[in-house]
Amino acid sequence: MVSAGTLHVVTTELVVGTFALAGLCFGLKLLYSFKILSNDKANDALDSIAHGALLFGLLSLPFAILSGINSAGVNDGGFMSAVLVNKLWLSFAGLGLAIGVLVSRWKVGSSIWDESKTSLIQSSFGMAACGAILLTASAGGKFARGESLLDMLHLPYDLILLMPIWLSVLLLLSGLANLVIGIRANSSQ
Amino acid sequence: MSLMRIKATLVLCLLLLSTNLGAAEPGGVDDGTFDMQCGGACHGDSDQNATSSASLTLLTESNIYAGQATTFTLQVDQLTTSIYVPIGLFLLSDTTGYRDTPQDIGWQILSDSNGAVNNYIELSGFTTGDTTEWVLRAPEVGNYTFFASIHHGGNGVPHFGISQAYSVEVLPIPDNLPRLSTDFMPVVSREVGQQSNFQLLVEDTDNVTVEWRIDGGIANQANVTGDSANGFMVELPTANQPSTMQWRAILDGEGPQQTTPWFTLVSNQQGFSIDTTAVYLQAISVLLFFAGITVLLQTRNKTTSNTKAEKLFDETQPLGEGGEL
Repeated sequence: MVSAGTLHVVTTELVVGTFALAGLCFGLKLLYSFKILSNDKANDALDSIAHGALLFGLLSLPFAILSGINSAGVNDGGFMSAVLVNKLWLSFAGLGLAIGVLVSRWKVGSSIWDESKTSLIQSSFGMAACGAILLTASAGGKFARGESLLDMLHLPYDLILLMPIWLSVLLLLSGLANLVIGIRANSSQ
Repeated sequence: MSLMRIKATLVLCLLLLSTNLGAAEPGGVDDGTFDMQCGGACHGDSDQNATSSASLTLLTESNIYAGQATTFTLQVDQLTTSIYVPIGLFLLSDTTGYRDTPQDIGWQILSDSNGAVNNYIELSGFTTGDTTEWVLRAPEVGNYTFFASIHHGGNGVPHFGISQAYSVEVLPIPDNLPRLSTDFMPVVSREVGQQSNFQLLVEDTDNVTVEWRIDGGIANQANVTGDSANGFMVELPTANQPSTMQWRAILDGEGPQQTTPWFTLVSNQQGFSIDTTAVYLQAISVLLFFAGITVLLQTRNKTTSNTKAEKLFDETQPLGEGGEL
């Protein structure tokens, strides 16, 4: 039987690798949006690679989150560190952004890159998803080994932004409403 | 193969060759009960280890009565690491790397200097000449061997060092010796602001005096109530800040007076606790919020631009109907 810790290492490697690739491609797409790059062939390929990598990372992410929760013993003793709490909400933020980016691309189609506004949002949110996951991985390094690649930024891993429950519920309802309105608006066209 | 591919391959090879085979756990692995070199778990391959410059001296009584507690003091000299680099110290019963903890030969760790009962402890801010202590309870009569070992980083390489062997002889308990009961387990940690009251389990003891001190300072007397018939209750003062207190008992009875080792009691800040439901709810809310806002922004923008395009199309006059052409 593979332990949750080992499974977490494997799945996080998949997630970080795929999200990093997707983030790089979204970064290059951003340069296309600003007309800094202009190779049509590469532009089309970047669209496929960015969303393909993001989809693969998205499929691995739930396994990484669940194995991480199990290996940290959260189910037994609760969250024993502020770093774990920050890791959880950062990974869920990355998951949400990735879902949003992929659903948008699926609903709107390749014409999402036709306009500068939607193109800019798609690239930026794709990169933000990647950033959230890389921050999560960095916090994981801090938690497990006491150091991480992003230590030079002196990130406040020990501070927790915990919203009151009523605010979380409000955010949850507004998120659901946004999702429904967004999908229906596109379907009714 | 094109020149571009050769260049790319060379760059990749250069990157692979420049990777470091060094320290696997530079931030430490935290205290625990580990075999020598963590059974190979910490530094992966022990062949990669460099020899530590540190000199280790293990000080303990050469004779101890069975079932009684004794102190193992480890002094580390010639330590050249930065005080910011954590060092790991082991107390071991042999050097095979398998079942070589003191517990494996029947000894029981009653306290370590970090407020737990581990044979491997990590310390930061440790400088040459500093000492650390373990208090152990001896097992059955016999001869036992102990080693101390050190792990630390430096120059990107894991360093390892081991002491010489130290022998301890466990002797049978003399009649009427005032002593701690073998059932007594000292409290090794508590939270700041928490008072410590416990029953001191003793045998062949008529009177108990308990002394306490902070970080090796002046010894003070603790409040002890009760008697040999009803048991002795000890009250140690509350700590107002994170600190390390040591205490020992002086036992009087028919036999010769006995003094226990200094037991370590670490006072820590209150442990981290958070409402798990609120954390999970916030995480799910953040997920839905970001997913929703992204989809809404993109689909609304697209719908608006489509509407504008349709409007422009509707306003366009057909060619030849009132046009000038």
